[in-house]
Amino acid sequence: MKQLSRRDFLKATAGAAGASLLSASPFALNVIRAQGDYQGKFVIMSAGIAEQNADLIEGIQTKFPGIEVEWRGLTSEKYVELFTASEVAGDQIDLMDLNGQDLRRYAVGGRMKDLSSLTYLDRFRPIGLETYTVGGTLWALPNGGISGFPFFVNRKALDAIGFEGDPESYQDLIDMSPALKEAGYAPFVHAGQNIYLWPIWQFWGYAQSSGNNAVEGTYSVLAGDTKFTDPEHVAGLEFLYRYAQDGMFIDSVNSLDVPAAQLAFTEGKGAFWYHHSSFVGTYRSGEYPNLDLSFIQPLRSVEDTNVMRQLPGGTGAAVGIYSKIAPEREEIALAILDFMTSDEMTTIRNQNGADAVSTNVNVAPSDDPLALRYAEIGSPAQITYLDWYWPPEITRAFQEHQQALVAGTETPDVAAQGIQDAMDELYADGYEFVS
Amino acid sequence: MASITTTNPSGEGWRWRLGKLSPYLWILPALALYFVFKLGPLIGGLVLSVLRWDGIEDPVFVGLQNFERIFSDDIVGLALTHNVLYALGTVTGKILLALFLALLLNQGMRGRAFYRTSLFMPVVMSFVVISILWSWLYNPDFGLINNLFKSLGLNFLALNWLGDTNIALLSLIIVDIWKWYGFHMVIFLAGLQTIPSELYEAAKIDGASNWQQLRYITLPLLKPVMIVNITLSLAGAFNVFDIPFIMTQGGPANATMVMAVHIYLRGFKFYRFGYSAALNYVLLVIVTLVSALQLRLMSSNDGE
Repeated sequence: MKQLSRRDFLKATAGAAGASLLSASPFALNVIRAQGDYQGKFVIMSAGIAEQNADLIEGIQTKFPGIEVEWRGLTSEKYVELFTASEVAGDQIDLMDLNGQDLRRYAVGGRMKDLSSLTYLDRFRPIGLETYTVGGTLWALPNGGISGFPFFVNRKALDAIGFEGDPESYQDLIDMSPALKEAGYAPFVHAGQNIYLWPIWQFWGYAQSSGNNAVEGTYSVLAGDTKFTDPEHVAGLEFLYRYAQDGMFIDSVNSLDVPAAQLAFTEGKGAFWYHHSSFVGTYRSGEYPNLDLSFIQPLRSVEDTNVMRQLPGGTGAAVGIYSKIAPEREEIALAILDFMTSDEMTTIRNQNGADAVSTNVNVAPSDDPLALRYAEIGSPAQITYLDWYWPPEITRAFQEHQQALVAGTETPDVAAQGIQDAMDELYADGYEFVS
Repeated sequence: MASITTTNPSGEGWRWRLGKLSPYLWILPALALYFVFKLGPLIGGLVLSVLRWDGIEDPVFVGLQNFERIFSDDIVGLALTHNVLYALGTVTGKILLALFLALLLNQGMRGRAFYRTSLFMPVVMSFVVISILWSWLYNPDFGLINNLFKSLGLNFLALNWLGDTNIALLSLIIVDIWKWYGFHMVIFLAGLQTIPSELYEAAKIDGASNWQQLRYITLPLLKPVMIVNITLSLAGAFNVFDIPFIMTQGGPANATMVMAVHIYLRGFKFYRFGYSAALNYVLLVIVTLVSALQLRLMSSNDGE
């Protein structure tokens, strides 16, 4: 037998060591795993931040050992641009946990898988499934709470001026505003610097000015049958303009972002705050000695008392599967989607958010008093956010022109014309509304 | 004539070739980075500017349509106007403040190194941190600025800094000046070090006042450095994005809309990547022309 030289021995052991390292490398492991159940990184592109979804992330990783969830909290405001950047860069994308506002774009753009054939759809309230059906196809599952934007009230402010009960109309606000200001409260706080939050004023305003036909009216205007310069739309803008012209907003409204607006409201600088119902969860988890939180439906701004005081809301997050997901992850994606929207995980999500009504039929709502109040007066008055139907150019047009209304640099008819101009430009580019 | 490489058996030929190539090899990494992160995107952007692409559908060639659209875009004129105002404000503010501080710190004084370091600190801070910090400073209700003015009885100075369309742009200009004056100060300091002290001594002997020394010695000899500072400042003003985007998002009511924010919104909010690229090239041309004009004007009186 030939004796091994030292060189040959070293070569052989180096080769064996190299082979061992290679077989243990992530690359090799993924190659092996690709042929069986997937294990490894799983990316969820979410409008919510990881800290608020820690329970869910832990739940997924416990339920599916070997799966490492990478939760990317893009936020609602920046979801589209950050998602686009990731997609163009070729990043891994598996599940999309969207704000419902963006669903239409991704559904129509072929970025989501058809979920119509899932077998557990009876788990969800029909309104959620209807909302996330575009062009006859279900693109995402509703998850979380049916929530919206009520007018939050600091009852300490109303107590300070001796106002009992709930105001109902804009005239009530006008009547109480001198006393509020004297007591040190601005009538309304709003995060005006965050341009993303201005359209919610049109949502409730147009709901009233259209006689509670806001969704139908939106379909009509996007299809080109009516215009944003028609009286009902202009009237919605007029309501916001009056709030600003009548001095109902805190002076710093256009320089407040959400944290600053929250601080102003919770520190007793404002009597009302138009914000999302999820703030109830924040209120419960913090200490706010200057705040006694309640809420009402948006104040009536029309004469007709038969018109409901509707508030804009949504049917939870829209959770779907990225259409270009790697084939080896498709099966695990379906399993995780099922788990994320299960009654068990949705219950946790609803409790954390103090949601009044769950997207899941068999999940009991939160027992928080404010959640119960929302179930009583909020969700029955809810209409879908209109920007879930608007193209992004129209959303931006409303944002800019509404901010201009509040700043006093535009009047409602000028703002309406600017929005219609944006719509006309879209038609010229070949825009077609898909219902 | 026989070549060294073929006739010299000792290998001097490859060494000679390597010697010729070595300067290029040394700069190759930097060149590669330049191509990948500068030239490559520049060329890619040019290609994108003649396409219509929303990030989802396949791109469609549209020729110069994106460039034609610029002329009918109302926001472009408004944004460019704001960029010009921003440039005027920040260049003037930064240069004057930086020059003043550089002259001050060029004196022999105790703690000079500490002052120089402290004044340079904003330059190394992140734009995001600075923007958020100043957003809170400017907060009309809780911010330090308004509360300071109110405590001094200067209530008329407690303004709605970011929410008033008349002063929002000025508020951003102040932040930009605060962020970058240290950078320009350091450049001025370096320039001041190159001025021979004998000139000042001679001037003193001739009875020149401090002002005369500044006007006839310091400023003329600082001219090359001044050109650098103004050029950098101008280019920065036309390319500004971070501060307006984070602090005001171009609002209120487009009062702080600048070209870079407009370009970003067109690309990443409206998914018009081709149009956004075309806008970028127009901005590139504008910045190049402005910089060239400025260099020509400032160099035209050179005695060379």
